[in-house]
Amino acid sequence: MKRSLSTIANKSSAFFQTVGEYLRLLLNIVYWCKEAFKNTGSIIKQMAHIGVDTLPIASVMAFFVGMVLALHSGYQFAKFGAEEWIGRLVGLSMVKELGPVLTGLLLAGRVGSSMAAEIGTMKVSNELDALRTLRINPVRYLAMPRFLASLIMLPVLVLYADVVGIAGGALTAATYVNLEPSVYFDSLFKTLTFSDIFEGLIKAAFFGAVVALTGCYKGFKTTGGARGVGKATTSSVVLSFLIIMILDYVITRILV
Amino acid sequence: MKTKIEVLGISKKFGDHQVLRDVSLKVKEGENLVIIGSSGGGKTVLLKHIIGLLKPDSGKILIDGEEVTDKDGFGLKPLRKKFGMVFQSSALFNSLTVAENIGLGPREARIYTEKEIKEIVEEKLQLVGLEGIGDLMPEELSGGMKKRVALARSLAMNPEIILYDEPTSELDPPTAHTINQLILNLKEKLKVTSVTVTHDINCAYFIGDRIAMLHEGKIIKVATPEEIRASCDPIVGQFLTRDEWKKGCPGSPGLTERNDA
Ligand SMILES: Nc1ncnc2c1ncn2[C@@H]1O[C@H](COP(=O)(O)OP(=O)(O)OP(=O)(O)O)[C@@H](O)[C@H]1O
Ligand SMILES: [Mg+2]
Repeated sequence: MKRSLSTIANKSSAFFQTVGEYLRLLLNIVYWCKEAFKNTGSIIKQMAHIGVDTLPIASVMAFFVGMVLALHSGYQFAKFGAEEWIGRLVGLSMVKELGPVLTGLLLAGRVGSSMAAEIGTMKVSNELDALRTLRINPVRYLAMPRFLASLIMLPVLVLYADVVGIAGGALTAATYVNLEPSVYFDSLFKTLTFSDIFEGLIKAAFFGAVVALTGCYKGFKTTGGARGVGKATTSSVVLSFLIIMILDYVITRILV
Repeated sequence: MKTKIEVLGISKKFGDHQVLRDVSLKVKEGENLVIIGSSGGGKTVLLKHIIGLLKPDSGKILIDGEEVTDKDGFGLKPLRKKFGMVFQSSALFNSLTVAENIGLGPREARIYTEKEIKEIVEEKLQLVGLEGIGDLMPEELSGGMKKRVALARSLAMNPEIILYDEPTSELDPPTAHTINQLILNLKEKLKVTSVTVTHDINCAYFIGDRIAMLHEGKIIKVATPEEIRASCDPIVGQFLTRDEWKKGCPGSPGLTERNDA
């Protein structure tokens, strides 16, 4: 009994320590954003990196998600002869929820993990210490550009995924329930407002920040050689997933 | 001569592993102090304390009379200006070319033009005898070349003190000799103070003005190479090869072949 209590105490103190370190890194990164304009080169490089890494797979994902949404809703709505509702359903689910969340998870898997691996490798091979001896702050040099690039790029990617997903939905609606694309888009634009799109992009910006912050955090915390790097990589993905899911609920709760 | 680095009774523990116990050292301006010790004995840990990458549990370190150990982040920046460090594993940035590695410090300091940075890179590469390899990537270099590029990278910040962590480990004898020669040349040319960590006694004899012996986290002896050669202390003997430990010392391997336990 006593032992299990002390394990719980240890675990929870470790948890609060992690939260504290995580938030400290966030503040540290935000502080260094003051030098963003002196580092535009590396921010743009990171943005390009993110784009190249995620665009192809984001396209495939969004297209198929849009198609599946149209398939499910088409099947149900067809029973009541309400096929034109497909447009609304696909549009709203894509823009407000699935676009940001799925693209965010994709970013965590593709980009967040490689940030953790890259920084983790630098940590275990003393390159972070080498940076410090050259009077270069690793948070400014490595984390801040990745954070800003990810925060800017995820909304862009989400906007793109929304468009692709809606197009996928239109294709299925046209082929599966013979819904005229003009009817589909009419119903979509009647319901979809700018604030819906904005809500999705706000989420995306938060998720982008979470992915980079988590990747960098896990990278900086890496110990124990190549194995440690592997562990940091996977745990960055798991942690990003968790935080994205929780944050998704919180943001939706605040914005609706 | 002025004292450049003063280590005052530092101790460091990782978990329950006491790595450094009450280590004290003085390094004079312009000298090369070699710290010799067995593998895993805390040599790298000691160097990282001197440059402020690790904080001691107790004790302090002064550089030109100014304390390093009570500072971090911004406070360390002016002190770091005095230092260059050549890491044991070289720690070159793998995604950057040789020239970018060397130029990174000056470039991020944002006080030089690109042309000046290029000149700095050329000059430092020449100092370590590697002209014209600026476009290679770190993975294309041999171990000895990596060490020299790492040295050039720290020289680019014009340090007053250079810390060498095992500059000759994992190198073949001729390459190790070139590196030792280079360390001596730089000391002559640039008048830098240096601290070198090694487990190679020959390297210590060759480049050291004084040699400090680190054993089980303690400094057990600081002496000139001549004094070490003449020493009969059995612990000192552990660091020497059999024939080097002065023959004729009581219990020396030269005298009592099987009795040294
Ligand atoms: N950051 C750290 N966390 C925990 N233990 C550490 C850390 N750094 C070093 N140690 C431990 O301290 C001891 C001394 O390490 P150090 O790297 O200083 O040895 P060394 O004398 O440089 O050895 P080598 O000749 O192999 O380089 C080792 O047992 C090592 O495991
Ligand atoms: Mg070492």
